[in-house]
Amino acid sequence: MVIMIIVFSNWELEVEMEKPEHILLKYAQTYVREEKSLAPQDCYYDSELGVWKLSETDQIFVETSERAGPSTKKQDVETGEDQKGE
Amino acid sequence: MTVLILASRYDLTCDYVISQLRRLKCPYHRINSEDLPKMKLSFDPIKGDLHIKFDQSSLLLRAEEIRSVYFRRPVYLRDYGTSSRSPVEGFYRNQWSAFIRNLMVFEEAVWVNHPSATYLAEHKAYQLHKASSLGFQVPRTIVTNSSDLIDFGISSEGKLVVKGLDTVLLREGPFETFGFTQILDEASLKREHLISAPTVIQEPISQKLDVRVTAIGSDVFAASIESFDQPIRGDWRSLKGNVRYLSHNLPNGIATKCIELLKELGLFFGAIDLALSHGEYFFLEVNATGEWAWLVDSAKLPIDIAIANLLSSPPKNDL
Repeated sequence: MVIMIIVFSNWELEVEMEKPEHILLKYAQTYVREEKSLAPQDCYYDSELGVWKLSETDQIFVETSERAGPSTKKQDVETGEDQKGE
Repeated sequence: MTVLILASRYDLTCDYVISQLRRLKCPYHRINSEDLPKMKLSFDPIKGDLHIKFDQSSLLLRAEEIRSVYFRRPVYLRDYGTSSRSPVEGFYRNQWSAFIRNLMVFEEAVWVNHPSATYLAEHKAYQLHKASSLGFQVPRTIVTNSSDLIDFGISSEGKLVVKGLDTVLLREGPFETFGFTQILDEASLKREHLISAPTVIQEPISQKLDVRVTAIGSDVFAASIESFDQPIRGDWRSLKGNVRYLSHNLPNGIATKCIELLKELGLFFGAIDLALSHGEYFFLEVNATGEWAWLVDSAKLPIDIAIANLLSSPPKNDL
């Protein structure tokens, strides 16, 4: 016969409570980050001029009507500011 | 004399500026951070000479030949959470990022903006303090981690604005979490968890019209941000594509304050968010690295021309 002696200490039994979520995180939005090319469509980068050009016409992309599409950060999912601490 | 552009090759905003520099026939050189590991570089920080060999070309940039620098890189690297980069990749990134920042050796050039000024200006409490000292109306604000201390009668109709002191952005695997500015009940705030991190609490601006001011030196451009169907409450960025941008006439006094704020912060460029309410303009924040290219077409603001003009003919660098 085994006698089990269980001694309870005076220590409090700590129950791991789930930490509440910080207010800024509670109201934040989570989404799947789109993995897409950062380059403008149908363009190549001209290293000499330092600009993107349309592959078909060799025009500087931002000098064409194509630039009016979603080509700058603000047209993308807004993640606040831009070059800060990236 | 040349304009030096420090950017990423995917930073299309720089292409707008280069297009205008070419129109002005102003010489420039663009260095993209992605291209750095493919270049052979030698930088003498004493003389201020930067030798670059890239592809078939060779370039020598001398400090005294650089009239201005368009700085479009981070002034520090944030930790957004789990990174897909290996420690070695992180090491490379850190070293190259530091290299770009060390080009501050080109101190006679006018920097748009200087990394040290950007670093200072990015601090929200500091911005509000400076804006208020210049005479801007600013919303009553506290930065706190205790809901017990949110009790100073600033709430409007029992509501308060809640936002991060720094950008609320986390990344984990394929997921990204971003926190927009929220307008919440003051009563419910008492039950929320704040203690773990400081939070900015502000009085809300009622019936506001958001105005984005882009200031370049002494040039000021303003656009109002309006929803297509209903007044915007809270953060207009959360409405994504459902807003329009209209050229806005800013009173001279407010435009002057915007210019003074840039000078006070040591900046040549700033994207300033204002709120117009009942005829009064309130300063909300300034972003030294704010985007602007989308306003060129949407609000017909020639910001690209103004930046190119500043870079090609910079004022005396006495900031």
